[in-house]
Amino acid sequence: MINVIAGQILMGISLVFMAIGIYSVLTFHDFYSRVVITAKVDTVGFITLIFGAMLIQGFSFFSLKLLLILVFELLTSPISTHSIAHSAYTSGYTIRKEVRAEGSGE
Amino acid sequence: MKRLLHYIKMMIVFAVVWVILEERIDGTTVLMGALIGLGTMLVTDRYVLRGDYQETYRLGFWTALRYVASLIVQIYVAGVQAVYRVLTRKLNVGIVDVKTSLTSDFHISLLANSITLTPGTVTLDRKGDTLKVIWIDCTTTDPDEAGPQIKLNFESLISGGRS
Amino acid sequence: MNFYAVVLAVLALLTIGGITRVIIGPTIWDRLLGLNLVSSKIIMAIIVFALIIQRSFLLDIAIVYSLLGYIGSVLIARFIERKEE
Repeated sequence: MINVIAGQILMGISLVFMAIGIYSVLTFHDFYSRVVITAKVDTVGFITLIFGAMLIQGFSFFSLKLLLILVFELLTSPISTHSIAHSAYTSGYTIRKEVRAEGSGE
Repeated sequence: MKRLLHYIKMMIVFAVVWVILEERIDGTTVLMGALIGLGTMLVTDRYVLRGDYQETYRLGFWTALRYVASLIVQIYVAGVQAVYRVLTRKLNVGIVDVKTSLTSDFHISLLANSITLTPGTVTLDRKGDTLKVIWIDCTTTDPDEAGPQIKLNFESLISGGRS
Repeated sequence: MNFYAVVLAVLALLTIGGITRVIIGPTIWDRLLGLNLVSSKIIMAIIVFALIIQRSFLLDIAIVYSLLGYIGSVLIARFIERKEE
């Protein structure tokens, strides 16, 4: 019973992390700071939620599959973040400071 | 001979993954997974990855384990720092160059991966042994000063167990 | 009030936030970033749903979805990069 409660607490923490990630992606005005913040916070939320689900479920094939998903995510999430940032950098996106209403950034 | 050893090691990994996906442990499942893994490896070697890559993508088992454990701790530190920065809105974004002393391609890409996951930095580009990094708290643009703050101890951790 | 129902509802709200960034994003990379976030939220929703109904075949879908989302975002990023040069 104690592991279910601990797992649910972990899930709640991960929801808080992800909510902060979404808040930052909605409110920052510079693309690079959005990339840096969301990459971190989203990965932390994902790992915490999977740990919580593994705690709830105990040791079984279910949690082994969750471990497989965790490994895939750890391998692929930084690569996709890096490739988005690299694409923006190569195409000539320069750093703007926090200015409002830059209008057409395209 | 080395190739055969590599095949056998990878077949064990593929069999474990297949057993997890199939959710059944018996002889047929393990054999099936090993055979499917062998077929996949043969096709990949023949048509996709030409050449010898077995030596390139090599990391010791304990090195990998220590690396992953340290990585998870650093990810949590990064998350808490990022939350702090979001709430106080202290941002000073800049792009710095970082020089690395690692030589092989695989190790450099592992380093770039862990730089992306650790506090406040995302790797942008690589030319030779120089990595371009976005840094969210850009206090200096000097590569020698910024290097140790960005790379932490991952460089020695990755190259240390190269036995 | 079930705990998992609350988790699913919060995940749905976060997904809507991500979709908002996809819609209003000024540059195309912002949209791509929002798409990345939305796909990871969907994977988490699948995991929570599999936990509720206690069936593990849904996790296979989660694995496939995570790999497809990764390949999709990398390919789109590469494609845009060539276009803009």
